[in-house]
Amino acid sequence: MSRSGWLMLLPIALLLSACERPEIHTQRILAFGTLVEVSIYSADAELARTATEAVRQDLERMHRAWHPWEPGALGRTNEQLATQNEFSVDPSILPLLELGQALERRSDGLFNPAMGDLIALWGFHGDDRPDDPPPADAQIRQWLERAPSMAHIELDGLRARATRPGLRLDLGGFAKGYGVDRAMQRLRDMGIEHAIINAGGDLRAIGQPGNRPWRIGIRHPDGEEIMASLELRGDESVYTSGDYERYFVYDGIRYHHILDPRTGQPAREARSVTVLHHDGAEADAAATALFVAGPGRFAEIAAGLGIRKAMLLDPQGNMHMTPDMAERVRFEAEPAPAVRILELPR
Amino acid sequence: MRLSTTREDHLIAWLAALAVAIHVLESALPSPLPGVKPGLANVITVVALLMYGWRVAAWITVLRVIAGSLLTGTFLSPTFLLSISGALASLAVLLAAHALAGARLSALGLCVLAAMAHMLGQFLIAYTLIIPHPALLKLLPVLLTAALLFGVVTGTMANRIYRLPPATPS
Amino acid sequence: MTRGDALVIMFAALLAGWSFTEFWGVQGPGATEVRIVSGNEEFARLPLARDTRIDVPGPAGITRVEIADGAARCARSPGSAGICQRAGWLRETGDMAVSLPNRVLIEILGEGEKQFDSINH
Repeated sequence: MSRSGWLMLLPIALLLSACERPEIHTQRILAFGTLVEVSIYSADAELARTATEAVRQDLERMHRAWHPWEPGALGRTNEQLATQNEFSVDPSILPLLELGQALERRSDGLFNPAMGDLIALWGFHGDDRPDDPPPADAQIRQWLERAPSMAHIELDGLRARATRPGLRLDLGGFAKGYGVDRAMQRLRDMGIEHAIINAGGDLRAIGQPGNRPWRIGIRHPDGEEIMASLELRGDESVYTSGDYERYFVYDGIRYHHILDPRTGQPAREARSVTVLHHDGAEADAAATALFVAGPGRFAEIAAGLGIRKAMLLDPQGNMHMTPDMAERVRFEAEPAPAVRILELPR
Repeated sequence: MRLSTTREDHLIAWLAALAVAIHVLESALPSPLPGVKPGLANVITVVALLMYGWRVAAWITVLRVIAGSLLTGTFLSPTFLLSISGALASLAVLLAAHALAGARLSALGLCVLAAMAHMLGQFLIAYTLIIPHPALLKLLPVLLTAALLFGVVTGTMANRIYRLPPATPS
Repeated sequence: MTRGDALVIMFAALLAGWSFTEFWGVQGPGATEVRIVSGNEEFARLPLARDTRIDVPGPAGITRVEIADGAARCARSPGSAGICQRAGWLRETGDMAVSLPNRVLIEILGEGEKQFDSINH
């Protein structure tokens, strides 16, 4: 057989592979400081591979730009906010600032992306938090006296200025949600119609794999067990915030990373919150705000953020959820938790 | 200058010429799958091996590959590499099988072995050096089946030729 | 046709038949391999069937992966929280352990219908 013969065989060989029915190509990558799982339903394995690589590069670029402590666009913004002088905002940061301000307002300040200093005080800004003691009360009190928030950033077109000291942006999961939204847009631009991007607790799905919906499991905060599941069709995001994502133990007490801007301490009224929503950035901010809100203000905060489907697992093991969420969620673990439906205010 | 030639040299020249002719003719035949060819030139090699021994068979094979590539203008090209790797693989298996099994293997068995070895040798070189694409592996079953079928066909032909009464010189 | 010929043809047919099952057939079910990713590169891909140990270097130090009895685990890894080690023995397709400080990902590959397409955690 000649070389041209072998080369002519390749298209036939590829055709043979392409004749196979489409399947889900799942790849796991490390990006955005976390584990990201990209699942693409397609007959084209090569496209799935290149698209995942494109997503990885996009996420890494965004992660660098939006890291609060590294010399990227957000790091520079933070340096300029600290001077309290007026400056021009980096165009890649501006939409995040505006969205952050709006979401903070609508969540009555429970979602606060200006807590960079508080997060650093607790040591949750690095990749690895040793089991050192929590910050001293005096340090937290000092932060609470300043109580910096997005409201203390004056925005005038591209010009910005901090009106308070100690204001450091840490967009946290909210930037990740925004990044996942952008990465999904990248997949669409590459002609992919059915996919999931799952960056830790931030998941967005489009399309469906064949003639069934995407099946999503939601892990119990205590371990590997799947406590509930959701079926997704079309374009939806599932965001879960939990006390198990980042924490340290000191003197027998567990301190997790979701901090309440009102007390400066880890929020104690929830174990995990799951939000089902179309927009990833909004869902992410909502998951954080609802976690801090706890069952008491759950319905009020959800309504303010325009979230119709959300649920909260409280430390006693009860599940609080909106009526629309109750229609969608299925419990997988036995016994199913006690469910309390929280009607949203009109 | 005069080269002294032996009877064996003449024999090799004739048979190699025949093999080259078959080789070139065969490359003009249409094929259902590009590259899948009956390998009729193998008939000559196998018959020569049975009638005249391994030296003649080896010479015919090497001459056929070199002369064939010179005629088609592919000498020392990647095509040549593929051609020689298939030919050498099949030759090695042929000689080993004949030496080990002797009369227990007729031309039929030898042709099947030669065809399979030829295909595998080529595939190995093609897959490792030219197109290391996993999709190519999907073709291997088809190629092996074709090699088996053509091995049986050429083997049957070789058996017939081998049993023909020797032609009387006119 | 001699008996030798028949034998040769039979073996050739077996080889061709085997190649169909090997390259066209569905893969056998169950977890078969462990894939280790360091940073953005695949560091190793090892069969679960062979017991071994492998040290994976990363920015924070060495992550040790152990394979035994058809399962793999993160035996040692830098990172004070021990999140990588806490994943325990990985044996089902899709099981994984991650060391974020060391940028190492250990995951089990193999065929098999998964109950969920993705897990939110």
